[in-house]
Amino acid sequence: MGTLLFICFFILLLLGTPIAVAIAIPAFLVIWAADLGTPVIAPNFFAGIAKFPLLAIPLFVLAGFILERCGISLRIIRFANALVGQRTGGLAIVAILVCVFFGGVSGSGPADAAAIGAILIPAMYAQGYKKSYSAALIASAGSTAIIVPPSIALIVYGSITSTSVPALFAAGAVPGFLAGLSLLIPAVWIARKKGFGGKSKAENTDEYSIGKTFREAIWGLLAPVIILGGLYGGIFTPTEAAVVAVFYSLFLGLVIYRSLSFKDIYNILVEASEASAVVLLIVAFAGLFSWAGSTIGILDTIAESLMSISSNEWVVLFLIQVLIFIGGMLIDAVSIFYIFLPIFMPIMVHFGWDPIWFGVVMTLNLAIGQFTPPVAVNLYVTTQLANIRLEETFKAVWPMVLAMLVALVIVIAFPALSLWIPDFFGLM
Amino acid sequence: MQCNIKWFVAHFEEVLSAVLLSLMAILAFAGVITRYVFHTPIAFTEELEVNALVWLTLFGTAAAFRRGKHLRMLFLQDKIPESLRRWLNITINLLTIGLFVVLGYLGYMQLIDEKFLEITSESLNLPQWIYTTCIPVGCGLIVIRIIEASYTEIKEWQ
Repeated sequence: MGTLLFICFFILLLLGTPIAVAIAIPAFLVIWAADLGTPVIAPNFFAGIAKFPLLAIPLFVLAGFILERCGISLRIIRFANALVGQRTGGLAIVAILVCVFFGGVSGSGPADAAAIGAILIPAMYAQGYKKSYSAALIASAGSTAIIVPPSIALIVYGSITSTSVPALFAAGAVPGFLAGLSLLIPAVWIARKKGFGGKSKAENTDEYSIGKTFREAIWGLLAPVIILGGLYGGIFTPTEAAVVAVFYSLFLGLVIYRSLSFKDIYNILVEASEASAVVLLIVAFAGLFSWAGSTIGILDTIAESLMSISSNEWVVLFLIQVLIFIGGMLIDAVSIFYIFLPIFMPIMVHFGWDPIWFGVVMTLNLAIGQFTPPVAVNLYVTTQLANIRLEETFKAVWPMVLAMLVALVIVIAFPALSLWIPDFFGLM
Repeated sequence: MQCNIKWFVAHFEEVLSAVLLSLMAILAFAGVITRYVFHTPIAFTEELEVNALVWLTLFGTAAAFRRGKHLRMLFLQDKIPESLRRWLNITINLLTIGLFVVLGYLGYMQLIDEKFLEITSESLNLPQWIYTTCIPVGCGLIVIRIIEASYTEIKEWQ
């Protein structure tokens, strides 16, 4: 029965069934075939979504959409460009900085890559960067959005493992920036070698001076300060921080920049509810999948066989990371959490791993999977923006994958990197 | 006027989810204000918001099916011939319709049970079946949207 669950899921997934449906069909089948009682499905579906911590998801998505549309991303790109954009490889640095920063408001990798890529890929092309390089770079930098707080993935992790979301958000900060920093090395190295950028001096006029662009961007730069400051200081719960972010960005769009019309706001509301529904539907069905898997005992069996391979915790940890990496290449972080966490949680308890640290490590690993070929959601988004084929980016993206894997090893080896901020603010 | 009605029928779930999401944001913001300014949190908002989340999910799902926004892995589909891909997608749509018909039916049975047992919600003491209604209604709408999307797709073949 357990094999039926997983094999059916993989076949549907490979055929191109929407992920939520590919998860739900085997779950329904197993619940029916193993006589677990089909009447549990509807209340389980309902209860899987109706959770207070999950309320933060549509609100953060909404805040991210408003900030993107009200012209903040463009202003922040101009400011970063004025700071470092003129040198060789300068726009590559801008792309990484802005992606990490914007990840601090949006919380979703593909959304981050789409928002920044739409503006920067044409700009980089104009300055002589190869399209395959910019698409690979923005796909990888955009992936940091799921680890840099606030992060939708970490909200879901917290809700499954009953760990504190503010603590997770605090723990994700340093690893998120470290992941961004690690990308700087291959990005700048390749740009220097190939002589990308640094050609146009025309833009560095008074209109785009550092001071002027900073004054334009300051309101947007304050957004993560308010969100994260409020969270770390214990002033806001994640849901409260999310709704404050919504109204702050609305204030920017309507009063400060006056760039939003009511039609824009309606469209943003529609798109934000669609994007949240896509995530929440996966939450509900993946919850059923993992409930069915635990009840028939397949998940425990997998956990036991993982631990029986070796009693050395580093060997098991390595195997788990390989599993997460492969899983992350195929499907989204939320599904992975629901399917794999019931397997990993007993192992975590067995070896005494810190659940906050493990959540950060797992999420960072999943972020790498988002832009690792051949199946990479983020690359899919950026290559469409750049109008090139996915395969063209494969050579350009490997240095980025390697760099971020190094960052992952560092985060695994030094748990203090993740844990000192939550410790400092007393969130653990 | 007739044009407006037509537009509303085609975008019914979009209007509803936009209204729901803005109400949720306003309620949550009101919760923040009352907690910090008046020091008396309004407790009932939590139940309304959490249940609105389920409604939002189902209506948003319907809209996302109409626009083809659901996450899927197209790695293999990009490698097979056009005609095979068409049949594959029709099969997938049929399976998806089957799934939501089953979920909608199970939700309806749940609703009947809750009505019969007179179950009420935790903090507002409203009949629970009012909230559960979203499952059969939402699933019905999702099925309609998938059929519509498949119909437009098939028409494009010719």
